[in-house]
Amino acid sequence: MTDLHYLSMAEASALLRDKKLSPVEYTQALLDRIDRLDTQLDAFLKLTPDIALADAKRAEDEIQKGDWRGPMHGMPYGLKDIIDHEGLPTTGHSKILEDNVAKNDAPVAAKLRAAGGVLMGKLSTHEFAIGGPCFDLPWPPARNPWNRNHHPGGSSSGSGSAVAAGMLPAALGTDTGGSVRNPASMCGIVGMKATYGRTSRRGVLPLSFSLDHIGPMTRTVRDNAMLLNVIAGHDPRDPGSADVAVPDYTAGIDDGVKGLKIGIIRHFYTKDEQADPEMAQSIEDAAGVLEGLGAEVREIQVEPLQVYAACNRTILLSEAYAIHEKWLQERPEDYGDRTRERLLGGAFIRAADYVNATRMKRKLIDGFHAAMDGLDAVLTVSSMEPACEIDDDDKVDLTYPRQARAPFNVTGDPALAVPTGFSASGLPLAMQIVGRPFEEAMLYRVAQAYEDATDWTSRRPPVD
Amino acid sequence: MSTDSSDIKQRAEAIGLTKLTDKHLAQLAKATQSAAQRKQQLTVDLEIADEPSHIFRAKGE
Repeated sequence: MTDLHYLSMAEASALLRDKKLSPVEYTQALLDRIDRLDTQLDAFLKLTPDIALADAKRAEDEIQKGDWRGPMHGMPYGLKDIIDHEGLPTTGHSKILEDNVAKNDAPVAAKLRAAGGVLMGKLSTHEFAIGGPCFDLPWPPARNPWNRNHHPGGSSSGSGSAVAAGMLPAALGTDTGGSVRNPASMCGIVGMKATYGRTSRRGVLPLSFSLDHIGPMTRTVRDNAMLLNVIAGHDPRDPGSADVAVPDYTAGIDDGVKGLKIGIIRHFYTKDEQADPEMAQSIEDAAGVLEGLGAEVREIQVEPLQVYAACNRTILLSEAYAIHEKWLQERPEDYGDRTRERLLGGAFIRAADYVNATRMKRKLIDGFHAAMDGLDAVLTVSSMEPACEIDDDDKVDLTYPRQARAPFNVTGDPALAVPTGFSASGLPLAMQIVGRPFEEAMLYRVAQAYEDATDWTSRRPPVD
Repeated sequence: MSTDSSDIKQRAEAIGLTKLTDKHLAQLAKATQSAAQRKQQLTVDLEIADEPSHIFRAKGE
């Protein structure tokens, strides 16, 4: 048997279902690993071993009795610490909410609980999902397991770090300008920002109502589809939630890409921005792999990256400022430096500029969908370069405008970050696969074919 | 928009940001300047009747 800590969800769930692996034994093995590794990686803000072992014992009893609830039963997972779990702190990694205890489960957390999942703890985030990495908060920032001197990406940084290091098989992150896909890209794992409205945002600290998404983070494509199966669905109490049927995202995942038509947006990383050569080459290589598997790949043009970025940031900062205004007025010193500076960027955005950005958003959506006409999916870069050093402030600040994730928060379309190799320095490279609204299954199909043809998701960081 | 230090303090106080230190005000000035630069990149042409992207969409839209 593979080391328990690097079992995929698919492998572990089969063993758990067949009573060949005890949920308690599995959970304890991961708790021991967290105990050994997290002093170096700081992925967890709060470890919940008592809850985890109680959840695992309950799962074990039920499975022994033949009451297997499904692939999440007995499966350890973690929550980014802006997602509510009843009775546990939701701090947003901030001094401001240090004493905030959730009264209820967020619907995504409730779904994981109902599916028999084992909650291992709450995970590090950039403060309020916007300010990070910060060294002036009550907790340190998470580290990248491929090189702990490097940034793990954010804002779902603890989720990325913990999953990549084999401390968890699965975690939830959130994504407003790329915060699931950035840590997935920087840590060499798979991260899905599903269609806007696909997963409930209720019970999750908001950053921008128009752009917030919740998403699964896992080591493999199939695991990601399994986790989205659990958390997707309509929530009538979330005004942005979509009442659209949820398919089985693992059905058809092995259908391959033969005959599919796939677009590639090169100008994001060759003209609008210049990506690091290794990163750019990895996207070309990935396109070549898909062509070799029978897909037809052709280049498409959309609006320049900077237009999407400006639209995203204008909406994001306006809405985030409105959310944080009271605390910025009353407790500005309680924010980390980087968070405060980012949030203050919304203070003087004019109402007309905000409204016009929302009008442009609609046109950008229509334009992107027109460019996708006749295509099944689109490839492009995620980050322009591999993870920079975590304490290099200038480079960290540059990574935020130099990325190609924000366009798909603007359009609301599903976007999946998938590993595409490693730099010469040993840091992960990644691409995005983007699709039409509610066609996450197509992205998983393309990604699974690519994953099967490469071995990137089977490589492990040097933490052992 | 001016980001002159006395001006930014006055403007901050006018919107209730009365507890910002000099360091915070410098951050506000820098962030405001970045937002103004970003505005220049909002270059999508709008017709008079172009509507915002609403959260609600009719089923099947």
